[in-house]
Amino acid sequence: MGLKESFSRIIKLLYKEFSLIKGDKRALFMALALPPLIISAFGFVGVISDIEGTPINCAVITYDSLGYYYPQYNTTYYNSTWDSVFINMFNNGQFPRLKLKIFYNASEDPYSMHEARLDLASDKVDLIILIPAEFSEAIDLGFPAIIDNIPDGSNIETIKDSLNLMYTATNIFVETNNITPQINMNSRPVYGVPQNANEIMAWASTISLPFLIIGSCLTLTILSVVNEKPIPRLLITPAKKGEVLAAKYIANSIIMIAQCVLTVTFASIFGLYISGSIVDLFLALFAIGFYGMCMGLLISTISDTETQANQLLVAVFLIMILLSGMFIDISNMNIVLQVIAYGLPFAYAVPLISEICFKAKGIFTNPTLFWNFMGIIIICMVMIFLTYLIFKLKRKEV
Amino acid sequence: MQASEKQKIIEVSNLNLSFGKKHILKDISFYCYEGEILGLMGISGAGKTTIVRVLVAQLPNFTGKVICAGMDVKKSGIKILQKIGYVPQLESLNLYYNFTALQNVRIFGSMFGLSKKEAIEQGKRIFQVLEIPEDTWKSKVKDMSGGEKKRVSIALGLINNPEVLFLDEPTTGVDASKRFDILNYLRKLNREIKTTMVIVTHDLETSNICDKVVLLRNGQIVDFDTPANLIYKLPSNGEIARLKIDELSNKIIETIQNKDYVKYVLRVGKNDIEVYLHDINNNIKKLVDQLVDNNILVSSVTRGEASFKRYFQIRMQSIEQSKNEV
Ligand SMILES: Nc1ncnc2c1ncn2[C@@H]1O[C@H](COP(=O)(O)OP(=O)(O)OP(=O)(O)O)[C@@H](O)[C@H]1O
Ligand SMILES: [Mg+2]
Repeated sequence: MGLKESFSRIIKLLYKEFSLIKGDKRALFMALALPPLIISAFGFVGVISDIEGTPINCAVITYDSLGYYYPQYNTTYYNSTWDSVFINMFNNGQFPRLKLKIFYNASEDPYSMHEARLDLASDKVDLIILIPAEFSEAIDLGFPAIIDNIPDGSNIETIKDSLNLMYTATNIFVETNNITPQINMNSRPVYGVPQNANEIMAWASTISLPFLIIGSCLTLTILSVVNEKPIPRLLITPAKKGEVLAAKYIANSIIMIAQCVLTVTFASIFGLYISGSIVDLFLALFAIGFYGMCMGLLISTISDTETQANQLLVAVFLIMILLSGMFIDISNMNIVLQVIAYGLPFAYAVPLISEICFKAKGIFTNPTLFWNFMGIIIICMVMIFLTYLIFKLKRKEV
Repeated sequence: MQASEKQKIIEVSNLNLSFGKKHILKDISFYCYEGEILGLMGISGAGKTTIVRVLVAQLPNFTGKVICAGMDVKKSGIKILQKIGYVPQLESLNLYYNFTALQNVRIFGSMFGLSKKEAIEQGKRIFQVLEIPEDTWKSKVKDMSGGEKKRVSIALGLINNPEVLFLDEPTTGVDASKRFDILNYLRKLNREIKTTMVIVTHDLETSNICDKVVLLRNGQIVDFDTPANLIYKLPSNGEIARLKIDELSNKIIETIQNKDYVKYVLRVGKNDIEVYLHDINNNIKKLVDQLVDNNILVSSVTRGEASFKRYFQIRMQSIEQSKNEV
């Protein structure tokens, strides 16, 4: 009896909630239009740049053409065949993304290395590739040939990229010239993004999709409680506090369903690589958005004024970004930060999206993924409980 | 209906309430019949709002018997909210400013289980009684005038056809002519819809429309009666002498005050006083004669009725004095 009335009041409160949301056009725009727009922007970037990625500018120094004196024959050999081949291939753009910007021949310019370092310092180049003396001799005699790789260490992306790209480059060098150095590592990543899918968007989405969804859900809900002045008056009708809150959760969830449908649709249109189930991706996005909404309503309930709510929003969002695992891997954080990080959504959201998109794992078939998903849901439940408690205890008078 | 047949719709006996160690309401007892307007009056901090909050089941930790809208508040708790209406003091805490008046009516009506149609119909009916211009019904509340907002707020309080309507300071912060209008509307509503009303106010003019008033001071009841009865308790049943005296001074007032048949003297203007005396028919002439004998120039003497405002003033003053004497 009481339950039935409660339920009917919640349904009727939805009218109020949707009218309120409709009145806040900016937040509604953020929630519904922003994620698809950003997805489209990523999509276009991916399409235009043809899955290439930014080039890595290189300075190449060769010591190979320095002569080598063989005492037993009493002659100096100048073998410089293979460094020329390497550099020619470089110049012809046969190595993906690596771009030969400056070339130094150490046999002519003894300060080559020093100058190359200055180039690195002044950001003219991102990477120094050093071909040591006896490079050609080693290859001809079947010894392991060495190439030194000196990337700009101030940027972690450059380190990663230069290693991978040099890897590819040496493989191409070896295969094209049909030479057999003693060590040859073959690198063939699995679970990568296939050729026909949009690579940039795929990488970008694992972190940016959760960000977008959480951000827009936060802005949608952050003022929902704090700015609704007549709530205390509403409570001097048969409406109960729990019902008023429930209507807020339901109304915003409905907006979020629309948001997730739009986002997934746009992502598919622009070729987001989803190897797993689209339903799982939708569920993951929904859970992530739900987190944003729960956090928004919690902040809104804690705050006494709009300014306070906005300040808290900025603080929470900053902490979320800093502890998202984007800058420091969560497993490398100290225990206190880890606890906080696991209370924040990205610890769960990033693996969720990437495992679904790249590894075709299912939320309900893979236990790890399931607990990532449940992690978000459980934290949401805790937040809902806290919100209700604070809302209940906070005495606001009409 | 005979007075004896009337139902007591509100009945409070020996109500006590403390906030922590602070004893706020002390042995409050009063009642009110169906269809009456009850005024809860007293200076700021007297406990008016607290009493109303007990009546509308927002403060459960009271002792004593409290019946509101015919229900025992202790037993029924917030179920009472179905049968009462509430009009808070501030519109900004009461109305959805970005919604239209009709939307507001719909939202609040639906909380009482009214359908959209029922709520809107009931709303329109009350809007008409309150003479809210029809062309504003569909404009946002924030674009309405202050008086219109107040009336929408009153309409929301009436949306569920309540048995008792509580109004917190309905005339505070409203200019004099509007105050008169609002009191008129409340009177009109009381007559046409026959709602019992409890008006919390420190605006003493409101007593004009009240059937009964509860005068409060420091959480205690000072008086509980009809305004007319209270005025009747004044010397000479509330009949007073208004004197205009040239070059009125405190010394003159003291002289008058010291006559044994004079109960109170109130200065009401630069040269005007109101004198409350026993047996006014005989003593008024005596007073004027004595003043003239003392070379005090009395330029006019009129007889009149004491207002409730004066009653309140005198009552509060005499309590202060008796307290000082003790
Ligand atoms: N929640 C509370 N906790 C403690 N004391 C309270 C609380 N609410 C009210 N009081 C105290 O109770 C007393 C009566 O307050 P109340 O609000 O009923 O006064 P009032 O007659 O309505 O005054 P006003 O005309 O200013 O509205 C005041 O002294 C106030 O400080
Ligand atoms: Mg008050």
